[in-house]
Amino acid sequence: MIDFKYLKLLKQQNTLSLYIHIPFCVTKCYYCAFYSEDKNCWDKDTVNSYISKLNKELFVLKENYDNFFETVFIGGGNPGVLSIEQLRNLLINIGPSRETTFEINPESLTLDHLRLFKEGLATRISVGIQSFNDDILKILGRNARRKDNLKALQFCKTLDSLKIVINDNYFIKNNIISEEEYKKSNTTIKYSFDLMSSLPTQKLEDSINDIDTINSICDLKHLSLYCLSVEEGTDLYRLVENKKINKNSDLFEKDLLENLWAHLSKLGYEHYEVSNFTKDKNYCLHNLRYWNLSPYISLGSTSASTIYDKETLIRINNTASIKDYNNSPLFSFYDDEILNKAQFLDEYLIVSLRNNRGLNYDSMEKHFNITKGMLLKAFSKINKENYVVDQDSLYLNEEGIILLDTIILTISIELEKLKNIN
Amino acid sequence: MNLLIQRVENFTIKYLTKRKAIKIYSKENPIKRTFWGEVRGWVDALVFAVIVILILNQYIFQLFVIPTPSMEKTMLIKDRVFVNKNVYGLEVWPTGPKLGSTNRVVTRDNIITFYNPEYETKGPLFDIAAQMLFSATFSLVQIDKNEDGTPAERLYVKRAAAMNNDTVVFKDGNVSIRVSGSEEFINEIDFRADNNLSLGPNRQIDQSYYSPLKAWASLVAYRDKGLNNSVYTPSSYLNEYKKLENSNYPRDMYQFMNTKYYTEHRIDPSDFNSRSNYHSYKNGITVPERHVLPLGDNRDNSHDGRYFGPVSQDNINGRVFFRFWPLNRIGYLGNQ
Repeated sequence: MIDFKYLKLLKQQNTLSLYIHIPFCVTKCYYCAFYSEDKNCWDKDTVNSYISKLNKELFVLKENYDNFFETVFIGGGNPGVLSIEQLRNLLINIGPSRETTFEINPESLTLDHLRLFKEGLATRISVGIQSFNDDILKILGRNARRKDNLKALQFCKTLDSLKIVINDNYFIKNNIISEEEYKKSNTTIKYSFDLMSSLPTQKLEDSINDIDTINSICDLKHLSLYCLSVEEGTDLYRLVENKKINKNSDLFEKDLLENLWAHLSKLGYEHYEVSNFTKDKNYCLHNLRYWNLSPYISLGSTSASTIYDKETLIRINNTASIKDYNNSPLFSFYDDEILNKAQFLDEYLIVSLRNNRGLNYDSMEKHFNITKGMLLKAFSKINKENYVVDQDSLYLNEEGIILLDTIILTISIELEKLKNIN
Repeated sequence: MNLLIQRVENFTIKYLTKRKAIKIYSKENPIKRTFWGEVRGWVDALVFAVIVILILNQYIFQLFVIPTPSMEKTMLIKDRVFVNKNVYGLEVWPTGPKLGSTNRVVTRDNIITFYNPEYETKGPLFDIAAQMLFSATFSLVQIDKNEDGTPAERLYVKRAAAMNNDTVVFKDGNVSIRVSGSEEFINEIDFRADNNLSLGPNRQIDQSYYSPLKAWASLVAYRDKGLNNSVYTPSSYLNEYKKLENSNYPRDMYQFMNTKYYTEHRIDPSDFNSRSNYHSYKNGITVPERHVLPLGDNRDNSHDGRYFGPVSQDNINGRVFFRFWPLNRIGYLGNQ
């Protein structure tokens, strides 16, 4: 439970991001390991009371933080199951931020959603395309088909040409922010697509084809390219266990990823995180903050927050099901976990080594008293071809990213050893 | 032919002397003055008088006792006034249709009487009986009472403060009006001064009352929304609220509800009920065609159009134009 102590801590955070989880899907995709419930488990009233609860918690949060959120992300599930009015009200309640993203499935995307961008309530959209191949979409258990995905591309093409009129901006119209403040923040509308690779029966050509299909229709500035992972507890896991579907070998996967990354780099994309690519520095600001371990609060069932009490990192997890969440008082089911220095360091390594900014020497020293020398000593255990030592940071290159998990484990153990010696 | 002339002659003589014949006959055969005869005579006279009064009341003028302080200081409680009943057309029967009302409409600032839109009728027979008794006793006997024993107000007396297509908003009890055709809201006091309207409308509540009142309304909204845990309640609200001593009813219910819905809407924007209420308070009241917005002159103690909305011209049945009691305040009460 976030008791008063934590609400009071909010003011201490320099900047704060917000994540909102919408755990509703029409059907559950076979590979999905996030918490969500399909259409059999909820109805309109469930969604209504979930949103009502979210709004109340958000209100208390805002009262206590008393500032605008830095970045906002509404994920799921599929936030597309919300009515346009519900989504709009939620976005209004959230208020302005430097970047407000919502996720959506292509089949839920309607022209009504354009209004949210026109009014400046949302600035970024992340569409789960996954693939353009109907057979593969079927295997994944997606509701969208190729034609839905193509429609979503057209929608985003419209976003590119959307004329933004300052006077239409909801927050300016209602005197929540001034025009100067608005102009200071990034005002372009961005969109991002999710694609999946290494799917069963999917060849390298198919994935390259997917990327090219997108680029033939719109000028995509941000792409998340995931490699299918079979997570325990998913329907896909059971299918693989029962040998109904064959999982690709690690070697195939490595080869596939290298080829895809090379293709993307040829197209001008910067590979800035394990599975994220961007053109012209259109990073996802929300995720950058997440990978920096910047403070953020998550609301909704099964969500995790990170806040700081001075130098201590506190994780707050909500493990409630939709039903529990709807039927409990505000801020119940939020459990806190205070991370000790070693756990904090592990978290830091996990999130920092994922992206191409890597480990910053100054912050390593500031947070953990680990000098550049100690860091280099730890990295000496690792093949030199896997990382780059830069002026003020050390980061993994593409060879290193493939071995990410092993490297993090090794470095974590090495650094612990070194710290104990000191 | 002669026969016909004869008959006409006879008929004429009979007709012209009939009254005299009856007089002679009744002188010769006087009716005995019996007790029941007396009673019947009196009842007859009384019924006749009541009918005349009812007709007068319905079509010409009515006497009216001011029941509440809502029009202070223009009219005090217990003042007795003449209400002109045909300025806005002839009402065929109480609450019935009006004749000739097309061009005889209420103008701004008239003090009007109209049927209480929130009146709960106890049946038409009771209504008529109560009104008859009320009129017959010259407004002394009132059998139409509310559940708590206070006299039920069948008619309201207020001032026609806003007309067709005007929009009126209320903020902290202060009235701003956007007159039909104009773009801007003007403070009602300035509007009245500029247009030579009555300066009767007045305020009693001090503006400093509103901050604690709003804190109170917000606290109620927090409670209704399930945020009654003291952790979620801003202490500034509690401190403000404490300034209200021994208060169990908000003195400005309109502002109270306004703030309550606003806070509820802020807490949970997905609640469509509080959202629509909040917006209707925020947007104020726009008076439709052939309607007026009646407001009491005693703005801070008046149950008026703020709560029940604009009133149709069809429901306005008279205009107060003269006070006849108390004698020391006899006078004209029309527009200036």
